This record gives sequence, C-alpha cells and structure tokens, in this order.
Amino acid sequence: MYSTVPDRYFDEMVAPDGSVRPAYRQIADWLRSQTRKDLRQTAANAEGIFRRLGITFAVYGSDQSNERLIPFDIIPRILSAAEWRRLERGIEQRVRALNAFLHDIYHRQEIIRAGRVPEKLIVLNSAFCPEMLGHDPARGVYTHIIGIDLVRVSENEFYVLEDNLRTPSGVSYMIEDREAMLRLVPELFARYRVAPVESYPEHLRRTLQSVAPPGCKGDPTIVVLTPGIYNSAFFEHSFLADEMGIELCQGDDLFVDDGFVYMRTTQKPKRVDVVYRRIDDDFLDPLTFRRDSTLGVPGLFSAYRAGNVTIVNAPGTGIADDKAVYTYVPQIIEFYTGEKPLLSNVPTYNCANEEERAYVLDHLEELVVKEVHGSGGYGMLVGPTSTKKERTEFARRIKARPHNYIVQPTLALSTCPTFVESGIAPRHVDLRPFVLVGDQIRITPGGLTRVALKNGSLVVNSSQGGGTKDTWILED
Amino acid sequence: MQIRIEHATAYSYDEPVRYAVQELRLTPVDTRGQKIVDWRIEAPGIERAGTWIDGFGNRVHLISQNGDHGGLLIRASGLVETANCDGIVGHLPNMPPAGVFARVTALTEADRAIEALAAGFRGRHRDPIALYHALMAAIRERMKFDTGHTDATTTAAAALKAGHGVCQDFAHIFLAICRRLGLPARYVTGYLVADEGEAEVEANHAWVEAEVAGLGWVGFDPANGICPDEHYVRLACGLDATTAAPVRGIRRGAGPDRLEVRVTLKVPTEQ
Repeated sequence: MYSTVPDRYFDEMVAPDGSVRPAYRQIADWLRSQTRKDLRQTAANAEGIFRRLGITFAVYGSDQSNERLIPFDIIPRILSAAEWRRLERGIEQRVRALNAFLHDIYHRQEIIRAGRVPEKLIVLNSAFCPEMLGHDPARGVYTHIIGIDLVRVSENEFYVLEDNLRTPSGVSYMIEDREAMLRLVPELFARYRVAPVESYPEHLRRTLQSVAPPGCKGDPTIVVLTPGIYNSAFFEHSFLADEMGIELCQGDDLFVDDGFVYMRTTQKPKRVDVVYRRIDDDFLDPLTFRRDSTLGVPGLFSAYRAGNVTIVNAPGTGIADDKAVYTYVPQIIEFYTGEKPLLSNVPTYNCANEEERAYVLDHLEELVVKEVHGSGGYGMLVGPTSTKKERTEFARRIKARPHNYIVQPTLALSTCPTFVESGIAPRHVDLRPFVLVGDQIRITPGGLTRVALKNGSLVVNSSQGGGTKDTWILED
Repeated sequence: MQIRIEHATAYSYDEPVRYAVQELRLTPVDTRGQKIVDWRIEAPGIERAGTWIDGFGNRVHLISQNGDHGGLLIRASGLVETANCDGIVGHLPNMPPAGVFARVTALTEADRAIEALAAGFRGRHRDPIALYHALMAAIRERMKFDTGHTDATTTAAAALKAGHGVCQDFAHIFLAICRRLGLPARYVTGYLVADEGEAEVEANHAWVEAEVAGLGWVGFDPANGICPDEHYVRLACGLDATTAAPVRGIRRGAGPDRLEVRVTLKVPTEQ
C-alpha cells in the first residue's frame, strides 16, 4: 500500500526492513483502517476548514490569482520525545551563539580580531547594519523570533538548511494545522500524547513583554507592525495580534514624539514600548533607512537607539543568517559557547575559491545553487531536476559573480507518507521549529513541516508548490 | 586659539507641515586638538529630546514636531579652544573597530575612474602619511573647488567626473579611493575658520580621517590639501556625508521647503 525508496531516502514512517517505526504505529493502523474515499473526505473537510479560517498565502510572480490556500496534508509528521530533545538542545545552542555573535559584531568584533571570521565578510556585507553599532538592546537580545529550517537525511542526522533570524513566517500554519487536525481526526489525539503548540501566542506575548526597554514602568504596550494587507503574510500578522490581544498597526498608526513611539487611538496617543515588526529593515524607518519607504515610521529607529522602544527582531540580524556567513556558523558556535555544534551545517562550497568553483562547475547536475541574498526558493538551481539550459545559465552567472552564490550537495531529504492523487505516497519534507528568545529561550514543541507535493521534488517552499503537515512531538 | 561658533539651520515650508522628525549630530567632543569650553543646542523640544551616542561616537538628539508648523530653527553655539596637533586625533571613545570604516556606501562607491586613480596608490601602504598626502594632491589636481556643480546627494564618482565640487565631494572621493584600497577612512564634518576676526561662512566644512599605525586617526582636508590645525573644529563623523550629517530630518507633507544654513565663526581678539 505504501512503498518507499529505502535505499535512497530515509522514510519517517517505515524502516528499510519494511517495519513501521514505533512513533508511527497508531498512524499506520489508522491509515489501514481508512479507505481512499475516507481519506479523500477528510482532505476535503480540511480544505473547508482552511477556507473558513481564511488562511491564504500570496505568491509573488504567479500570473493567476495571487492568493491561494497552501495545500495541507492530513497525515501528520511525528517525532519522538527523544528525537525532539536532541533537536531542542541543538537549536538552543545555535540561537544562543547567534545572538552572542550579533552582539559582538555590533560591538568589539572579538570574533574578527580572533581571526575566526573574515572582517570583509562582515563589514562589507550588505546585511551588516552600521546603524546598529554600539547599540545595546534590552536583555542583549537581537533575534527574538527565529525559525530554523532543518532537514533530515537519516535516523540520527539532521542538518540546518538556514537560520531565519529576520522576520520568519509560518508560525500561524503550525497553529492552524494543529487546530484543523484536532477537528478532523480527534480519535488520533486520543491514541497519542501530542505536545501542545497552542501556547505559542502566549509565549510570544511573554517574550515580547520581557524585552520592553528597562525604563518602561508597568505593563508594556506591544504592537504588531505590518506592511499591510498586500503582504504575503498579512494573515499571520493579524492572526498573531488577535491571538495575543494586541493592536495590529501600520506605519501611519504610529508616530514619534520626544523620542518615544506613540500609537494613535480614538482617545489620546498611547506610548508603545515594544514593536513586533513584520516590515523589513530597509522599510522600517525612512529617516534612517530607505527614504522612499512609506510603510515605516519616521524616527522609529532613532527612538530605538535612544532606548525608548524595543524593535523585535532588531534591525541588522540579517548579518547572522546571510548565506555567506552561514558557512561560518559552526566556528561561531564554538567561539561563543566553547562547545562543538550539536546540529550540523550542510557542507557548502565557496565559489569564490577557484578549486571549489571548478568542482562546482563540473558537477552542477548533482548540486543545489542558491543566491546569497535570495529566499523562498526563488533564483535557485536544483541540479538533478534541472535542464541543460538552466545549468548553462547558472554556470555563466556563477562565473560572473562567484560571491553571489553558495552551492550545496543535493540533500536526500527524508520522506513522509502523504495523501496524494494516487493514494498514500512518500514525499520529501523539511521542518521549521519556532524559537522565542527573551527572558528565557522558549522552543515550541512542533513546528512547520513543509512537504514537496510533486513526486520526486525536493523543493518544499510554498511558493514552489509545497504544502504543510501538522508536526507532532510525542510526550514521554 | 579660541573659536566662537554659531551654527543655525532654518527650515521654512510654503505649506504647513504636520509632522517632522530630525536627528541632530551637533555636539562636538573633546579631542587632543580641541576642548569644548561651552556648548548648547536650541531647538523646539530639545530639553525633552531622545538622545544617545551612535556607532561613530556622535552624541545624537532626536527632536520632533507634531501638529502643523511652518518652519523650524535649530541653533548650536559655543566656544571651543583649539590647538595645532598636525591633524592627529588619536583614538576617540565610542568608536567601532577601524575596519568598519572600510565599508563602501552609496556615496563612496568606486567607478572605473576612481578605480584607476586608486590603482596608482596600490602598494604604498608602508608610508601612509605620504600616501594620504599624495592622494590629496591627486584629487586637487583633478578637482576644481567651486559650488553649484554638486549637491548633498552627489556621489564620489559623479563629482570626479564633473571635475568640480565642494569639500564634501573632495572628501567622498578620498574615501572612495581609500575603501577601494581596503584602507579604513571616515568622513568628518566641522568648522573651518579662515583667520582671526569674524567670518560668516556658507556652510560646514568637511574633511576625512584615516588610520595611521602608531598615531591612531589623523585628519586630512582634501579640499585644502593640508592636515587640520587650530583653525578646525571637529563636530561629527561617519561613513559619509549622510551618516555624519549635523541635521538630518524627514517630514510629512509635500509642499516645497527652503533650507538655510548659516555658520558664523569668530575668533575673539586677545585682551
């Protein structure tokens, strides 16, 4: 009924000998008890739920309707308590180190003095934000809200694909996927002890509260700052504001006076202590950054530098998740924690190095090429599924601008049973757990599992036809 | 030498403006060559302003005007005691690691002409003072000092191409070449008094500082081809004219505006 490719890909449910892994036993039983018609019905119900919830996602560059539902798969992705504990430790180590790195880069730059990271890579990098130099954010935290993309290639091997330290999105899907599953298959939750993810908004609120400026007395006022309804993640912005019971603002709703940030209200203006912004650095404040931005708040960054408001995440965190800096994260972890990294990086070729570039150009068919400043699966070459024309084009681009690309081996992403047209079939998945850093580090047990719905596809991005799955972390 | 400074920045708008915010980098610090005897800033709301020290050691004030207004007057004034230190400022507090000043900005990006000019200086790092003097001379050979050809947004490349410019343009070209060579150098804004007596000058002066091993940071004034002496008062610094601007603001409202900057420098005669 469910056949995997055991010699090529690790399957989350079925071991190479054909036995079902312990965590998936009840799922396997349940799947056996369901006819294809039953499953089709459940999938249809799921779509109905998401339509009612109104979760849509705008896709850039598609000609047709630019808002659509992200496909949802009704078969959950499951991790055992022990597997999760290992990931958790690795993630915590990583975000601690990356925050320490950000503090250092914007102060004395000890890691550069120590010769562990090249100076040019940092100070000449467009993601480096000189305006942040010398600033001490509340509690020393720069990146508060993080989504780390992980892929699994075997029983015990997870790789970090990228650290999303700027304004990661997707957390609303984690929560809504769970809510849908609870409604669709309540009987499964009776058979499993699944760790809850519903507390994320409450943990987010506590995290934001904990990083209010030290001068803030009483309960801090927190707002979500959105670029507006045309942003692809607007649904998530309004969802999170709603769940936390705080205001959703656009740039025009806020203004700066006497060095503080205020929100316009029907009564008198209200002072704002923490801004959870979902606007990119460039557009945040036309006084300091792009002067043509109409989305931001003039003077917001200045008020931040004056210590009168906290911006979450801090501007300039992009220097720590820059694709060219990514290759140094193992050294970064060792430098600030004195420990070996618990989670591995994907081995990455540096095209600026002549030898490595020669290898890359000879092996494009096996490799994945990413633009240093790209995201969302745009501007990327996946060697094994590429055409000769695409490879020739990328070879030309790499030769012209070697610094602009990183190249990685094609990873054998694990597969997970997924309900598709032809029935239940293995499809490749990744995992984005969400991390909150404030007075403490809070990692929600779960995350967003993205699934490449096309047979054989290794690109899980929703902009490239990927779907999502509920992610279950089992409790002991 | 004692220099009395009055630096007024006046904005006036044809139509009322409902909201404006300004960052002021108008607070000079003590260095080897200057001691601030007294200094004050007058501006609407200055006593309630948000304030901090930015990444380049500058004291910044944030002022704002909410509600319709037709203009804004910002006045900085004070008395500074100066001495000639051959341009040497050494190491100032609250500065980032030197390498940060090798960062290329939009105003200091090199084009072919700047690259060609820079190429002539490659391999001369060993005697940096000679290098920087030669660099000033090379710029002065190619650039004619006059106003009206460039403005605050003119890049180093555009100014060099025009062959004309003001102190800001000379400084940007110097920085663009240094950064092309991987040498950290920073933009400095301040005041230059011509001689004893009283003078009204059109605007601030601008020059650069570069790092010289053993001496720390040393000032060079490419517009005049010399190192700053007791006639100079250093006000603020940054990566370029934008980040070091004494007054930088933004407002809501589309009507035209006029900006008038008046700098008066006096050298009180000895009693």
